[in-house]
Amino acid sequence: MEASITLKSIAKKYRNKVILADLSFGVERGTTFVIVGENGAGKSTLLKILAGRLTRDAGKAYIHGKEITSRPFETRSITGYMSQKSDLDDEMTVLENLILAGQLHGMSGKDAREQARHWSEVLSFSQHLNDCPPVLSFGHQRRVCFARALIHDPEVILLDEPTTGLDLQSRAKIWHTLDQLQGKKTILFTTQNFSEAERYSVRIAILHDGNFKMIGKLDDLIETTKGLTHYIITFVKIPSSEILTELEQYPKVVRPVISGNNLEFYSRERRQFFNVLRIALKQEVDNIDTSLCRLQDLYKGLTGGGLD
Amino acid sequence: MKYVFIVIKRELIAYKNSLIINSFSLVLLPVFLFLLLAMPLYRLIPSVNQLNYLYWVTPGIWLITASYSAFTAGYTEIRKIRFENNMLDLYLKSPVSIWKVQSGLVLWAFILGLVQYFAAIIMISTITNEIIVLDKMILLSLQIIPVIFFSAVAGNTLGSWLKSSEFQVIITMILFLFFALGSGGFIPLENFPDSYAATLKSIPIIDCITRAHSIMLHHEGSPGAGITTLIIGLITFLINGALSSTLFRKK
Repeated sequence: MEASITLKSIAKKYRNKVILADLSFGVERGTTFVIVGENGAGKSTLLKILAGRLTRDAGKAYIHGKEITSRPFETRSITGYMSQKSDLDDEMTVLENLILAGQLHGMSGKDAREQARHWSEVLSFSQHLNDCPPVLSFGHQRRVCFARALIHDPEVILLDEPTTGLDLQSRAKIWHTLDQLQGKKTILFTTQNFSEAERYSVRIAILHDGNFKMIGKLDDLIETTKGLTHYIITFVKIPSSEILTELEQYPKVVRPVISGNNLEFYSRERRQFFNVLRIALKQEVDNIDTSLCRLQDLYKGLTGGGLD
Repeated sequence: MKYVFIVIKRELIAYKNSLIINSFSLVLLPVFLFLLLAMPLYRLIPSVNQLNYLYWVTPGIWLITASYSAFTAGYTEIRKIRFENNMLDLYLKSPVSIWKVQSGLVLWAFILGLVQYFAAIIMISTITNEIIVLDKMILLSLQIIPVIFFSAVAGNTLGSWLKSSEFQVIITMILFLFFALGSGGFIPLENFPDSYAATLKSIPIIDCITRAHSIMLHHEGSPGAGITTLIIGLITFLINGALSSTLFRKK
C-alpha cells in the first residue's frame, strides 16, 4: 500500500530539552494510526510539525510523497488538523469560523458555507452556527474544531486528543464520523485513552519521552507479551506492604504493586499466581481478577521499566 | 492577493462586531484633539508665521489621529492573534504564507488609518468651517499617507514580538504624546531648543509633519520626506516579514 505519511529521523528540541528524538515511521494511505503517550511525551509536537504549525530541528517528513518544508502549501492544503485545545476565533460566529477555515484552504465562500452547514448537521451543532464560540459548551466547541479540520475534505486528518474531556454524546459523534471516514482517509490521532486506541486504530505507536517505545498492529504488540497475564487481588482492607517483601522471593512475579486495596502483578506462569495467593491469603481477600495483557498493560510495562 | 483579502475579511468581521465603539473613536478622536489640545494651545499660540493657529494645526490633527489608529490597529491585531486567541495557529496550519498574513494585517491597519484620516478631515472641516482646496489636499496627503503606512507597519512589527498588553498601552501613550506635543504636530518646532528641533527635522517621519504644516503656510512641499518614510516603512515590513516567517513556527 502507498505511504500517506512518512517521517524520517524527526527531532525537535525546545530550550535544550529533547521533545522528539529521531522519530521514524510511516502511515499507509487510508489507514488509521494512533499515537499513545502521557502528557509531555511529544504527541502534540509531532502533530504540529506534520500540520506545518511547528518547524523541526532535524529529519524529513512527507505527506503523500511531498516534503512538508519544501512543498508546504501542497501538504497543508490536503491536511486537516484539530489541536488539543479549542482554538476557535471568539470574535466570529461558528459559521464564520468554518467558512474562514475553508477559504484559507482554497475553497470558495459558497462551497465553504455549504460544507459548514453539512458538517454542522452531521455533528449536531447546526443550532449554534450563528453563535460565537464562548457561548458554546466545551463539547460543542470541540465538535466545531473537528468540523473545521474536515471542512476542506482533507486526505490526511491529524487529531490531537480529539475526545479528551468530552461528554459521551460528543465523543460518540466524533467516533461515529471517524468510522465513516475510515478506509477513505488517512487518520492519525493521539490519545491517552487506551480503549479508544484499541478500538479505532489499525496501527499503534507508544511514544514516551520523545521516543517510540513500540510501533505495530495491536495484535502484534500484544503478541510481544507472550501470554503475560495481569492479576489483581482485592483485599478487604489495604494490604500491608510486607506482602511485597515476601514476593521478592518469586522473581517471575513481575511488577507487583499495591494500589489502594489492590495488589496488582503480572506473570506468564499460573503457578506463580498460586504462590502469590498463598501469601495473600494471610490477609482477608475480597476478590480476584485476571486478564490477558492489553495495550494499557503493555504501555505501563514499556514506560515503567518493562514487564520482564 | 486572495489570501490577503481573506485575512482582511476576518479583521473586518471582528471590527464589525464592535462597530459602535469603533465609530465613536473615528469621530471623537479628532474632535477631542481639537477641543482639548488645539483650542487651549490657540490661546497660547494665536498664529504661526501670521497664519491662524487653528488652520495651521489642522494637518497635525489629521496626521496624529490617522497614525494613532493605524499604529493601534497594527499592534493590536497581530498581538491578539499571536498571543491571545490562537488565530495565528489557523493561519500557520493553512496553505497561506506568513507574508500574506502580515500583508493582510498591515493593509488592514493602513485602511483603518486612512478611514480615520478622512473622518478627521470631515470632522475638523465641519468644526472650523474651513475647506482645504483639492491641490493642497493632495500635497498634504503625499506627506501624511506615508506616515500612516509607516505607523501601520511599526504597530505590526512591535505587536509581532511584544506580548504584553500593558507595554502596548505604555508605548502607544509615549508615542502619541511625543508625536502630538514633541514633534511639531501641535506645537511649532520653533518653540523648542534649536538643537532638538534640528535633530527632529532630520527624522523623515517628523519631516513629514513639518512639511505638512509648511504646505498650509506656503501651498508647496516636496514629497521627498514622504517617499523616504514610505521606503523606511517597506524595509521595516520586509525585515519583520522575514523574521516572522522564520520564527513564528519555532515554538
